[in-house]
Amino acid sequence: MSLRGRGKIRAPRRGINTDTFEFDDIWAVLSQSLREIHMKNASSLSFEELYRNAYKLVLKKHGDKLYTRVKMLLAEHLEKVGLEDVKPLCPAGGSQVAASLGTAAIERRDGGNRFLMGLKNAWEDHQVCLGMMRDVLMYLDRVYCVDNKEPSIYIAGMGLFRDHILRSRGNEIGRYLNSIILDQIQMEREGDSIDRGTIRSCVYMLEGLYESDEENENEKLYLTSFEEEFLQASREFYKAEADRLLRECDAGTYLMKTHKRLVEEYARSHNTLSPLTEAKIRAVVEKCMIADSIKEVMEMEGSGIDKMLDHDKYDELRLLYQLISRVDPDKKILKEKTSARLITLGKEINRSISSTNVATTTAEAGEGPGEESSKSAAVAKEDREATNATTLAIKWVDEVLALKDKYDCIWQASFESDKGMNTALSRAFSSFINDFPRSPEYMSLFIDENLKKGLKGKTEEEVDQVLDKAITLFRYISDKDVFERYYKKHLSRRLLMGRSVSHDVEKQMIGKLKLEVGVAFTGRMEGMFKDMNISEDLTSEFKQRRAQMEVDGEANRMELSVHVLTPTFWPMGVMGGDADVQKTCTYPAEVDGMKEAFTKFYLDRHSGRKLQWQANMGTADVKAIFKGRKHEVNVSTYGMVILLAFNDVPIGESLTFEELQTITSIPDSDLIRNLQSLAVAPKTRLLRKEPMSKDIRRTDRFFYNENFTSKYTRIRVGLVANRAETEKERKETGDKVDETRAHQIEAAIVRIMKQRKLAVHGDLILEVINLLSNRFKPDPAMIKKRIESLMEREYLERVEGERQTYRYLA
Amino acid sequence: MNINGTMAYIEALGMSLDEPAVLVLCEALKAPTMGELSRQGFVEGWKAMNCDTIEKMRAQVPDLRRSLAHDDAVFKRVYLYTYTFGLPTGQKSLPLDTAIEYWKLLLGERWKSHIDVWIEFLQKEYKRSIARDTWNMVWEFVGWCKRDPQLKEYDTEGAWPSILDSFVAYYRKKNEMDTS
Repeated sequence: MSLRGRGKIRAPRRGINTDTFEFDDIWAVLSQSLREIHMKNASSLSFEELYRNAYKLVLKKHGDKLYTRVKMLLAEHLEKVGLEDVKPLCPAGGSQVAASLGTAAIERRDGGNRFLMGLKNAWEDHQVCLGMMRDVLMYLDRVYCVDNKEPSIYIAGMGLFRDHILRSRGNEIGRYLNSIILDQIQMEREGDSIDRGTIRSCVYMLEGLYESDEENENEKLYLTSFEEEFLQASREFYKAEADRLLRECDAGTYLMKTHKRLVEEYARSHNTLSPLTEAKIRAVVEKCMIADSIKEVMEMEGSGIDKMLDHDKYDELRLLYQLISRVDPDKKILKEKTSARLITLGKEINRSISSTNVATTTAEAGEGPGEESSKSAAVAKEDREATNATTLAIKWVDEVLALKDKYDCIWQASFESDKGMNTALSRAFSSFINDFPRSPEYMSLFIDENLKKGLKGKTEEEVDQVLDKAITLFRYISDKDVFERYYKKHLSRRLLMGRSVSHDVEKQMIGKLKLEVGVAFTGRMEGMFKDMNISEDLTSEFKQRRAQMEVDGEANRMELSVHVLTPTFWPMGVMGGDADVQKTCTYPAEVDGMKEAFTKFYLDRHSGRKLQWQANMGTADVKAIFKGRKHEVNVSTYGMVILLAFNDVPIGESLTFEELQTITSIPDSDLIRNLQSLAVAPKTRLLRKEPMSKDIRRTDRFFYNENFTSKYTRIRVGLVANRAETEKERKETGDKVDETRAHQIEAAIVRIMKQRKLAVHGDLILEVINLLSNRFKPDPAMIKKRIESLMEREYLERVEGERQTYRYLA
Repeated sequence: MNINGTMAYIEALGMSLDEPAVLVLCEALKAPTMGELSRQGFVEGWKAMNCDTIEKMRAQVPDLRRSLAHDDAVFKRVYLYTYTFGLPTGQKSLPLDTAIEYWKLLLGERWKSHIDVWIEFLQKEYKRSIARDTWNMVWEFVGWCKRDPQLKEYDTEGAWPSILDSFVAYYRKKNEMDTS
């Protein structure tokens, strides 16, 4: 269509007989032209003439009439268009366009498409017409409309389209429009392909129309008459979809499909509908498919979160994490479920280790009845119980570390190293680790295992890594004071038995622990190292002195190495056995001579001190000849004394248990233990026992075992290694720990009250727990008992009339 | 006055040796322990009651009895005092039997609801001497029992002495067993 060029606007000629007004004539011309425009015959029109006509009318103050007539004309035209062009395209079945059964997909799509095309065409034609009309009626717009605050022709025209096509006769076409679009979308959601373009065009149309001539942004027809219906239909769809998927799919598939739907709807809101809807439809999908259903998905048998965690399904877990993050930034349910699984697995480890422990010990319950042997059997049983338990201890730590590794990987690969998740997992670890009463002891044994000299199969770096991991587990333990007690014991044994890999490594480890807990932890341990160093110096000086003195032959063949221990630094009872029994020993003459010489040497330097020889704590290397072959045997001090006793016994003759005891003065249980390792333990039968039974009786006879062989030159008769405690020992340790804790709680209470002078019960308890949190978690009931004890000893009193408040008594 | 004298004196006033009002009297006269009366306490105590003859003293006795039953402030004072009164010389803590006797005497009526279970608990489970704090707190506990006879609201994490925590557990268990 073309208009002959726009001419200049000429002022109306005055004086023409225009008073007898020709409105109707002019209007006739104009209206006819407008109709031509509608019929797409605009090319034959003169723009200038039309413009001038309109201009004239406005000038003559007939703007209002013109305006009204134009609108009427438009309305009529639109009604006609609606009725003749668009309505016929509405599919059969009225406004219920829901796919009637039997309607093939193609028909549905094409039928819907025809309608949309028709409407789109009507819309586009209308826009073009309006454009031309606007040009022609420009003067009307600029003068009449502005002066009278009427909407411009263009805008009015838009409104007319809305009223006379979409909403004519009770909204039918508008309703059809919605239904058809929704039906098409439904088809697409079900997997069929549709023509997005036409839908998009109609959506543009809806976006360009408004509820009123003010054309407020939030009153777009798209929003007011389409969007909500779309969202509601979507809700229904997705609710059904979620149900269906829950029934038909496994968890992983459900997540994938949910993800796909989210992507699909995002695309839809940009390609087919309007970006205005993007956030809202996303919210619908998120609610129906995630928020409302995710718990069920996670709990699915055979594919839910437990399986995902157990089988390291990183991708599925990552998807789960991302989807949940959309609806809950805290990811509460994910944290809950993951923690729960972790705790279950952890408790399972605890349980299996505990029950193995019990099984092993009860299996041996049926051995050796009878009174005399019962004592030695009990000792042997305890030893075996403890050795098995040691292996279990290390196994426990290994398994817990493995669990930690696994969940660390999951945390990084699937949970985006999320801080909140980390906290939840840490709490879970804490929970089951502290649920296990032996965890401090086992941790210490594990570290002990890795700090031993000559550890096979691990390089230095590997050991270092393992120890760092142990530290992370250590953080979770709440009874840190119990750990410290065991650690000290194990450390002192390592040092004294020469099993430690090196002092430097030990100190490094202590340093790491210090970082976690503070200085209190390591205080006394420094003392142990000092003693060790001093002892080294003393030993070498003593040796030098002996060499200088050129003491006679025999004694000089012996080498003495002494550890002098300052009692406060070292945990006593370190070497096990009954603490109350005096560790007596009658040394052979040569050894005794050496012992006395050292004692004199030491006391010369440090007069005023007292040396107490601990016979149960040392070791000796003894040269022994069996079957002509020389061996070097490493035994305990007691073992050495026992063996040397046989030097005075001719081959073939024996010593009874009683005789041995008289000669050596070794206490019962130690003697039994040592004889077991020398005469019963299979690989180190340096002595022969009659009878050959496993237990030791007072009437047993012991012979030098002339038939002893070993392929090794150097033999170690194992006795005291760091091992897990027996139940009895553990209870003793437990009691000691409780005693120490009672003191520490009292000290804490006094310290707090001294500062505060007055405190309410609840506050006091909290502060005490806080103060001691680095070492252990005190039980409020225990704290209460300590408060009562302090009240009895008149450190505190209750405030008169206020039962809950205590006062510090200076 | 030593124990024999004290006993005679009490009887002369028309009181029996095992009635609660004796405690009121001894508290008023600031007797340092059972069976002893100090001169100063005696003189000042009676002076405060405006009695200088034995007849006046005897006449005072009904008042003493009444004040114990009706005046809560007096009762509390006497109750708290009784601990010191009952302590054997040189000991810091009250033997269980003595405590039970005095509890029966003073709280038999006022704590009818719970005292029997309390005594049962002490004899069966606790079996140790009674600390002063315990003695004192029992009086407050009596008040609590009036408000919460089933001991449902009792909080073991609160500032009550742990002996009462144990008692409440005992009481609750007993209740459960009785009702099942």
